[in-house]
Amino acid sequence: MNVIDFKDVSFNYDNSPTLVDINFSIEKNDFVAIVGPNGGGKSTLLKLILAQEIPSKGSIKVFGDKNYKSLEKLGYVPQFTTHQQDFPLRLIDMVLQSKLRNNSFFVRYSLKDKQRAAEILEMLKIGEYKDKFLSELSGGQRQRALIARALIDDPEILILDEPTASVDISVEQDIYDILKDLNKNMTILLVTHDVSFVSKYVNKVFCVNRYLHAHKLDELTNTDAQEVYNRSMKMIKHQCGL
Amino acid sequence: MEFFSALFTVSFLRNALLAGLMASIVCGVTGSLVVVKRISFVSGAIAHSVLGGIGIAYFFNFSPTLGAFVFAVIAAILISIIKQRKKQNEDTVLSAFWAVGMAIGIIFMSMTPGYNSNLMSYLFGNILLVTNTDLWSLLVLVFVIISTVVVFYRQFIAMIFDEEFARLKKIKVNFLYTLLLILISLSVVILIRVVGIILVIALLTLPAAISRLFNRSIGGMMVWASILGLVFTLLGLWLSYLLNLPTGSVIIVLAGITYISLALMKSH
Repeated sequence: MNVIDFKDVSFNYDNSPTLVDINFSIEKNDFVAIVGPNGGGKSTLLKLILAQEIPSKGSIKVFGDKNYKSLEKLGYVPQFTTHQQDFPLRLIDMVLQSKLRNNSFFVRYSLKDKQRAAEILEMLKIGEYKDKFLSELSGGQRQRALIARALIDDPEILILDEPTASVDISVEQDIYDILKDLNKNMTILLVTHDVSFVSKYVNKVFCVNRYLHAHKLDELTNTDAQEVYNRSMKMIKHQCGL
Repeated sequence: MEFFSALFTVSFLRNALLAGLMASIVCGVTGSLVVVKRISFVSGAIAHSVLGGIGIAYFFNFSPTLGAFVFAVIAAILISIIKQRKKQNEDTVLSAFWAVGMAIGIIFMSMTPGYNSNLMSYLFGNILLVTNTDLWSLLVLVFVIISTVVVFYRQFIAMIFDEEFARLKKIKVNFLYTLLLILISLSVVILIRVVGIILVIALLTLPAAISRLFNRSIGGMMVWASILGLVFTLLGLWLSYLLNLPTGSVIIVLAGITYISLALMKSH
């Protein structure tokens, strides 16, 4: 079953074409890496999926639905750099924001939501920091917190924008292991710079540089021949302009 | 001591105290939201544009507070709409509101016959001229501000922390931003009575900025900013009474010196 379908989608910022004739489909339980140069349109692609931008041409279906009624089923993990690092908020309260709707009034969250949040934080191994403030967390803890925030609303698709941009290698490894695990139950889509690193985890790579080239990695990971693998990675990198 | 007994017996001092108390609550609640959202400049534009409403009120001879209120709310709504369109440079638009509002005010005041000493009192505030009627209208505004913040608290924080994410959860981000600007305009109308148009951003942001230095939660910021606001207002009233100086300016100098010294100490 396809969870996301793009058909002949184009998008222009002002008059310059950012994305041209994008066609792809993402199936349930796919793990997709979106790679490409800065300014190549990766973030715009995410915005289109999240219905934050409207395509100038073409059609987008999410869960077979053109009208984006299912936004709540999309979990989104933005880059941490878009936030104030010392924002006066406790970890648990930041995570609980995912449970907000336009009819959530007054100052308290329900006990049920709090329990769910605590479970997810335990699962991501940051349970002990739940009452800490964001300013007291390390880069890796913050990144897990953002993933937790997306997860407590039980999304069917998890979308991450450079989840490992501000963390060191060991944390990066941890985060991908978590995602690999989550992938058993949900579709994952992530923007990254490091195509070699994620190739162990993902089954599709989309190269986005105004146009989109889709590569399937399933066949590659099954081959033992290191050389074939290396050659294919080189080709992908070349096509992606990396 | 004479000052403190006068606070409770002399009616204009008692009114000044009550107005100061309400202004402090507003400093704490709205000010904290302004500081974490980083929109002091937007607040400045709203505050200065209200002179237009005050000038028009003088010319047509109705309540200047009402004129200020109407202008502030209109400015808030227009600024929010323009921000949502994203086509214009926000900075330039805000400067235009800032200056044009003041210009309209001055034009209408100059057309109003007679010498206008009240212009100064609106520009720099005069907490000693607060009447009983003023107090009642300020009380209503404070009540509206606090209840709105209580009802929308979580939604406001989510919108301020991460607009994009809030939008995905179908939270009405544009509505909330407009509502926040309207709260700012109500606050401005209250604070103008105390420190005047020109000093209003300082009173709105300095106590909250000081309390941000020592508080990690927004709730804590709001409480401490209110307390600090009250301390500055009371000290300002007392010093200006002793030294025969304009109250609003003394309050702001106290708050400003405190903020700058604490911020410097903290950065060392």
